Amino acid sequence: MADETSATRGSELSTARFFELNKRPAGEESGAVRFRPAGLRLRIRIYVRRHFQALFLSLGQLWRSPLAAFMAMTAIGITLCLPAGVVVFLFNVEQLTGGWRNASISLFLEQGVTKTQVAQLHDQLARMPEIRHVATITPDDALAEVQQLTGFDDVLSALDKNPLPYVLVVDPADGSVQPGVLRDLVERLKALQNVDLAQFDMQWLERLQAMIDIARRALFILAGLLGVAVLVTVGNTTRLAIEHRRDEIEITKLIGAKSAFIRRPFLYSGFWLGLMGGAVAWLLTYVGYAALSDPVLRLAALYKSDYGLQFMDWRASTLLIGVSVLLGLVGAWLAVGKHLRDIERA
Amino acid sequence: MIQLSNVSKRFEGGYDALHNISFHVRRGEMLFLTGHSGAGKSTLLKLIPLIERPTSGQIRVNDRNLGRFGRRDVPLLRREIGMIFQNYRLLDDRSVFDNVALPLVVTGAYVRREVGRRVRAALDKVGLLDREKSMPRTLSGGEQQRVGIARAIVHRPPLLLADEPTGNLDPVLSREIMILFEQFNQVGITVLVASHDVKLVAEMGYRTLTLHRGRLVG
Repeated sequence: MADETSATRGSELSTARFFELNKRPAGEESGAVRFRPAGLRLRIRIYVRRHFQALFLSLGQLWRSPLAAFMAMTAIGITLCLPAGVVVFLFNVEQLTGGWRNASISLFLEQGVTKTQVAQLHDQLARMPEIRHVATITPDDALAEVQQLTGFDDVLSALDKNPLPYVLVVDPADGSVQPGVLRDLVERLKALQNVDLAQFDMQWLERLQAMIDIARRALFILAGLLGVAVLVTVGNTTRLAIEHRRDEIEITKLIGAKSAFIRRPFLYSGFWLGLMGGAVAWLLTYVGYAALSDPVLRLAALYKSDYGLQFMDWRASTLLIGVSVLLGLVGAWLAVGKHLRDIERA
Repeated sequence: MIQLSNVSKRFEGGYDALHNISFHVRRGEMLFLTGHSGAGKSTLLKLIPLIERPTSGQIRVNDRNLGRFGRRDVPLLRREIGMIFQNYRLLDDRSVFDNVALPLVVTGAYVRREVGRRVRAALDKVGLLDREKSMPRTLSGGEQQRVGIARAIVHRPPLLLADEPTGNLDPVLSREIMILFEQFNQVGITVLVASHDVKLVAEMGYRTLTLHRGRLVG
């Protein structure tokens, strides 16, 4: 009771002074307590600081409902790791086929050609402008290589004569590395005298290229759909957060808060969700990459390739997380706009 | 300070809450608004900070026509008004200090030290200086309402609106709250209090408007 009555007892600052202080311009007041709104520079400083405060306040709010934040983050992470994984896959496929694009054409010569004929053919090819380099593999070289690689020593030594033909390995010049030109070149090489077989699997490469094109188109569709999924996830999380803080929003509105003030912490929540969801997506993609990396190395070794799976570089990683942050912000923006309007109408 | 001219309010569904209300509250006046529950007191009070808009008629607050206020202007209008509610409307997850600081924080115009000074001065006015760290739920009803009052005056508005401020309080506490309003009024603040406590209103002895079924009857 004694405490209750203190409201009406005289306090240190008289009521008159309490309200009077407001009316006097700054500087006139010489008392110990002086109240004044801040100047422009101070306002800017306060504005910046309030953004930082909202940034960390929203982080704290996420922290206080860790389950909701965790679920949203994981959902965003899984959603975004799908297109990210496809991007990494396509990137690797293109790296591989890019390597094959520079692959050589192997000309298998007929059995019984003489060394001189081989040398002539070699010179003839080396003079062609479409060809950058020609290498000759003699049957002996080839046999040695086969022995070394396959371990069929016994079988091979059982043969009374070397069954392998001369092979000319032709590297096309850079300008010729286009599907049409290359196909033409292979046809002409095949028609040369003494050439038994020109091996270059054009069709396979073209089919692969077509498949990559389809996959890339599919990736765009997938990424678009999953981007919308992220918007919905963030939007829903924001909606729940707004619902949860409805009282607070109503009260701050009654007190004279502008929409921007109310919107800000929710936007920053969206920012954090996007950032962390992007990080989760990156991590999941990396885990997938790490899990596949070894088997791919082994497979590549079987193909005599030293190809190793490649992961996103820092630019692709930044892009992934940047897109995620953007989706988080946009999702929160849309949800906040809609639900604040609902609250205003109520 | 407040001028209503032929103001009516009809809610969706055709319910007429206010009929053709006209009155004038002078700057620095203290005025009571009484009537039974459902008479339209709350609705009338809500028109002034534009929580509701009138269906017809004109309202002027501080010499400005509220009809000209767009959605973006509403926050600025509300910053000139201190509002006190029957159920206090405090944020239960924030301390007394943070609750009272809210009107200063939303304007973004004050540094922390300034906010601290003002909040403590306001809490001092309502006799709760020692409770700034308490959470609202740990306070009595009378104390919570005084926190609400501190929040309403912390930014020193020229106009105080109180909607049933003593509705949840016993007579002794109610009187104390009214005496606080009187003190604010004595230094030039315009105070408009809606209350159905006819006895207390009569005791206070200020000009009183009475609403009956949405009409001004006295």
